Formats: sequence, structure tokens, C-alpha cells
Amino acid sequence: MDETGTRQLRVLIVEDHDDLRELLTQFLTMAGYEVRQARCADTALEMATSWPFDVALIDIGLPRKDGIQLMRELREQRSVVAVALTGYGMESHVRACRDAGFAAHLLKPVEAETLLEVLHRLRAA
Amino acid sequence: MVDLSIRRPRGAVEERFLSKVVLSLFVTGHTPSSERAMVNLRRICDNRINGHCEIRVFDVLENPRQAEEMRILATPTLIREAPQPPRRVIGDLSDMEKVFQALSLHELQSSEATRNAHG
Repeated sequence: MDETGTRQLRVLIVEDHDDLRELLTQFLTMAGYEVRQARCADTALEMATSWPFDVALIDIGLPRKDGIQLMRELREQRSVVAVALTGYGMESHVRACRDAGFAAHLLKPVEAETLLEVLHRLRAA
Repeated sequence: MVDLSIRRPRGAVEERFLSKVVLSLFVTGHTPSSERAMVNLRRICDNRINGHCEIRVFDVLENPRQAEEMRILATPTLIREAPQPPRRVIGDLSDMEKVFQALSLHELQSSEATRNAHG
């Protein structure tokens, strides 16, 4: 719980690049979120069974099983709110993310404030 | 690129950096958070790094390849490029202490007081 008595938003970060995953974790933790991280889709799927995160922040370019496939499998487990974080901005890619069930598609590099706004908006929703 | 030389007030404990610090700031255009990050970075260099600092600012809109090579995930991102190993922090750098912590800048400092204590 934070100072206002509101529960922290629980964010699951799925990113295969170790330094970037740590950096994002540090940023969101400093912003007041409860954060856990997974470096691949399989770890994320495993974590999803035991940790009730509110929002997943998923890098689409994951090795072996990409973020789109991860999202599909997560949705078979439970209801999921997720944000795609990706280097691909083509319309077909945005559509693929939307079809997979992502609530938002953010193109890297994203403005830090935009990321926080999106998380805030998803929380409110 | 900016080099800063700062005069310390007389009697102040002098903190020195053991080696030159090179900081690269990646921003997106002239958004409010980009502007804040630049002002805050200047403040950090003026107040805390005492002139042993080289600043490089990159706009990811003008330098997309540079941003890609450096795997910039979000902006603003500040990278300590030297001394190695590199360290990063995301945000508008408004919390100076957290920036120092994230970039491990304290580890690069030695204070005059400490040196005197050790003779």
C-alpha cells in the first residue's frame, strides 16, 4: 500500500535483454510500482500462475516464443491486461498486437512519461 | 558537448572525481520531460560533479540509429559511458540522489576530508 492507502500496481516486465529489464524495473519501482520480471515467455507463463499482476509489459521480440504468442497463452490462463513494447511500428504489427489482445502498443524508445500515463490509464480502467 | 569547471566555496569539503565522467543523455525532441532532464543534468554536473564531466545530448528523432545501437528503451535515458562499466537511468533526473545511486557516481568520488583523514 502507498501513502494514500492505494495498493501499488503490480507490473510484470517481460524483456530478454538483461540490462534493459533491470533498467525498466528500476524505473517503475522508483515510480511506485510493484515490479517483477521475466526474461522469456516460459518464465512469464510460470510466474503468471503464482503472481496476480495487474499489467504485463511485454517486449514483442522475445527469443523462441515471441510476445504475441506469449499474450495468446497468457489469455488462455486468465484475463490479462498487457502493453506491447516493441521496436516495430508498422500498421500490420500494431494490428497483430491488437488482435492478440494487447491494450496498448508502445514503440521503442517510448517517452517515460507516456509509459507511466498508459499504466495509469490502465489502472483507472 | 559541454565541459564544466566549477569553483567550490571556501571551506567546503571538496569532493573529487577519480576520473572524468562522460554522460550521454538521450531525449525525444523538446518535450517538457526532455527539457527538464537537460536542466537537471546541468544541475547535477554543476553541483555535484565539479567540472569532471563531459555531457553529450542525443535527440532520438535526429539520431535514430544511435538510439538503436545504444538500445534506448525509453526517454529520457542518461548513460554513464565513462568510466566503465556503463550505467543507465530512465527519467527526468529530478531526484539527484537517485541518479547518483543509479549511475554509481558515489563510487567514483573521493573526498578531500577522507584523504586528509588518511594523511
